[in-house]
Amino acid sequence: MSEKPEGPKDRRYREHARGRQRNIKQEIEDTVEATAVSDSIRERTNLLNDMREWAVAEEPDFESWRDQARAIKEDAIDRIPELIDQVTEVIEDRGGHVYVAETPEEANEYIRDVCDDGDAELVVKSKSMTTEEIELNETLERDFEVVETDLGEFVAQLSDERPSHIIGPIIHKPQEEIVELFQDRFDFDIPDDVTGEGLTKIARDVLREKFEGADVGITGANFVIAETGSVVLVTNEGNARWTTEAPHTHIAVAGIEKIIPEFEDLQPFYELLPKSATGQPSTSYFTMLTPPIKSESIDYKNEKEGKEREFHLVLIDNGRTEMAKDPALREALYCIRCGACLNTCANFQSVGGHVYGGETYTGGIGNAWEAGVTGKDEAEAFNELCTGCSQCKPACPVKIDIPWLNTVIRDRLNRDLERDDIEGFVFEELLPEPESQPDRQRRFFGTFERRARTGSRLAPLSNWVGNSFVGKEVMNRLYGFAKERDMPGFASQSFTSEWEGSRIAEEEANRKAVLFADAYSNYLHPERLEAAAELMESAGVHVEVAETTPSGRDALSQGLIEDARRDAEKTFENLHTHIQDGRDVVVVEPSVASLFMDEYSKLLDEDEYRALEGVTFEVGEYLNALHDEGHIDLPEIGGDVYLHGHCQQRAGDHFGATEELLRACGCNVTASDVECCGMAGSFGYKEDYYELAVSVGESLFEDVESNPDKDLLACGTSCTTQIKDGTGRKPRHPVEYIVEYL
Amino acid sequence: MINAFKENAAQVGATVHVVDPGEVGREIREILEDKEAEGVVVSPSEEFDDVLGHDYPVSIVDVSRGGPDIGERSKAIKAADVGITRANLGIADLGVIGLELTQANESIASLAPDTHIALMREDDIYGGSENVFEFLGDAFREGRDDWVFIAGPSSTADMGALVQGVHGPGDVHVIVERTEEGGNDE
Repeated sequence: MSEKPEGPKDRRYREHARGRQRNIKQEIEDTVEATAVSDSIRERTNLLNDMREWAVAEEPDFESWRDQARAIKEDAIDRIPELIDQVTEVIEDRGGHVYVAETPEEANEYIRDVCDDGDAELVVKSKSMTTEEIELNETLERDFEVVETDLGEFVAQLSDERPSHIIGPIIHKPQEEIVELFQDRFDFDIPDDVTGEGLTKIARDVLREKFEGADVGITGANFVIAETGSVVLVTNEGNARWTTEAPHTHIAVAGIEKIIPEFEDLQPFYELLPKSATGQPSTSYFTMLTPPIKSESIDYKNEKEGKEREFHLVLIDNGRTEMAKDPALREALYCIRCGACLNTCANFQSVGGHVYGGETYTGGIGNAWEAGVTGKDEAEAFNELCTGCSQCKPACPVKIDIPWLNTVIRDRLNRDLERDDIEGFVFEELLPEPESQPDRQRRFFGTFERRARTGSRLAPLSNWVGNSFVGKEVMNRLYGFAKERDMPGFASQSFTSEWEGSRIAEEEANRKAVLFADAYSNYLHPERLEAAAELMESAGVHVEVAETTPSGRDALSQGLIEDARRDAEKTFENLHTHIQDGRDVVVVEPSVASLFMDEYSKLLDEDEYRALEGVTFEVGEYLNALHDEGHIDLPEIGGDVYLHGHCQQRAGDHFGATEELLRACGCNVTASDVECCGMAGSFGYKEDYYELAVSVGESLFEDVESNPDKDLLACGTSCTTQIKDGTGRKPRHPVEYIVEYL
Repeated sequence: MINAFKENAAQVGATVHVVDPGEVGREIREILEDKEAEGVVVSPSEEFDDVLGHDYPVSIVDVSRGGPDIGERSKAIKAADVGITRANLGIADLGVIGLELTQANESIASLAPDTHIALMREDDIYGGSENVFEFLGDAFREGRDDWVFIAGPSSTADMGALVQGVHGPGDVHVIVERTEEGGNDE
């Protein structure tokens, strides 16, 4: 075959080829700067997210569907080879063909041969991320005319771009750009003020001709049913229906994880998928076909009888069998491609899938997929964009623990990296290049809790040094610490160093509690622990204070799972006697409270986790409960308050209690509806991600600034820093606020 | 259940006409006149004979294989602005109709023209999806295994705001024939 000159499509594939070097920091900056693009992404993902929340709120059976769907997938992924055998037998019995491709090359060659054998000229495709994964078009376009018929894919094909979102391929494209694209690519006149409807009509007319003349139709499959040999397509536009109906040959391409055992298994997915993806109660079409289908094969172009119908199911492995064996990654195979985790994610909302994504897959779940089908290097590039804020967890219809998946991948990436033990001095020659930092950076941020005590002991010196010019240079070179940020300010006196014991005797107390002096509160904001203790005592609670052991929050966020596990075990030991003595465990820092109540399930033995989780309260929750039981006399504060809730607090549904508590003080509470402040622990301190953290925080900053007369409150340490840096106003913790009026 | 079906169908953009037994033909005529239909294709089942017997303003082409030759069928499909089919079932909770796709070419008749009219019986309306999937499971295992659930017109949001009428119909009418005259629609 002669060498063709490299065309735009070839370049696109080469640029996105394996092993390309990525510069995430640059990608983030470029995207954040391109306001029309980033606005487009933010608007559309937010809209989809809002629609999803609305649709789901209406459904009393939602949790039950999630449980059923999860159980079906867990079972199906366990039995993939068996299901492949079953579906193959059923389909071949009907005269269809099944081909299992280990690699993309095998799949592409098979499909090319099918088209060739049928003397095909025109191939129409409906949307399939799996065909993107195997890069099918690159192979087919050499010999056939290939037309993408999903509108978003159609536009992406015209403009030579990769899809940037699992279900909305061009959400990153502002309408003006689409108009220009159409004007450029089509011969007829298109006015500048053409509407979305007008653009759709153009696409409709162009594509109708293609459908009528197509020889082969290629679809994906949302589900494949082993029992009946059926292919299920969940769509809105009608193009997938045309793709299966008009051409005489239908090729369905699906990952092996798409197979579900029985027909009735479809029901919970039927309810879950449209609602989770776009907030529609159901999509326009839910097609369940058992090809070769019964309708007549008509050659619409020539108005005569079409060739006999032919069907091929091409099942793709490409690393999925390995993923199924992997105890962590197998959960990613449960994914039904709804895109909810993309739409809830503050980082994705800001930069979209070209940044928060790999070769094919994007968003929170995308990292595990890229790790599984592309490779760890591709996953590494964008793994840190998951901050663990957990907004995606309640949204996932099959209950995948996406933050945990990403943490495990991070942990594996850490352990592969070379150990570099130079904790440099301030000598130019010894300072390594910033690019070789990741492991050093993660170990720095992952050991904050351990170092905080020293930092506090050396305060205020430690603060001066850290924030000095030289200090910032060193921190930047060694750890990629963003120069725009100040170091967290250590308090000169920690809470534990000043605590003198409870004033309420245990025998006289209404309740007994242990206040866990988490490292963030103890060394950065001891006044919060003080306020918490005072308020608890005013309710007649006997307060013990547990010493500060590292909780594992920081280690876990940096993917240092073994360290986090050791911290968890030590912390549990620390609290164990208190739990046995019947004390409530109260935590001020919300990310640590969430850790006890959620992620410790992955780090401790089950009974240890249950024992601790059963008695843990975030401080606002605790005080509110005390108030409900009539133990506490809250001050009448009145006044207007603006309250920003912490992301994990919200995801775990613990935020409402703090609002209630403030209302019980007579306050008018305006709660921010921004789900993530953007800081996410260490994330916003890292220079690679600083721009993104600020971009995510913008809407919160605007909201705070438009409420200047309200008292400003926030529960999380990170949120406090972010809001202060972004608006100049430093929020207080609700307990600090309430205690003033006591 | 008719009222629930009607409401939820309206939510997804379909128009539901509830008629007394024997009034289906008249309702179809009204819709065709309203739309100023020029070309109509039908995928009939035996039960449509009386409906098709009416005197309609335009010619109606039967695209099941019992109809005219394939060239005519193909032309008629391409030229049609209205397609009439059965709806084998309805789901009240979602306003969705279920269409069995057989050799009678219901699929293209419900897909190619801009307007789709689906004729359904009150008795065939289910409450929610669970019972429907039980029924369908049996149907599939018996070989009745090509189906589509339709929730209103085809749509897209890829070009910004929601647009109805993309590659499938932009206008969907469901005519529900009551079991009894003037029945209770609850």
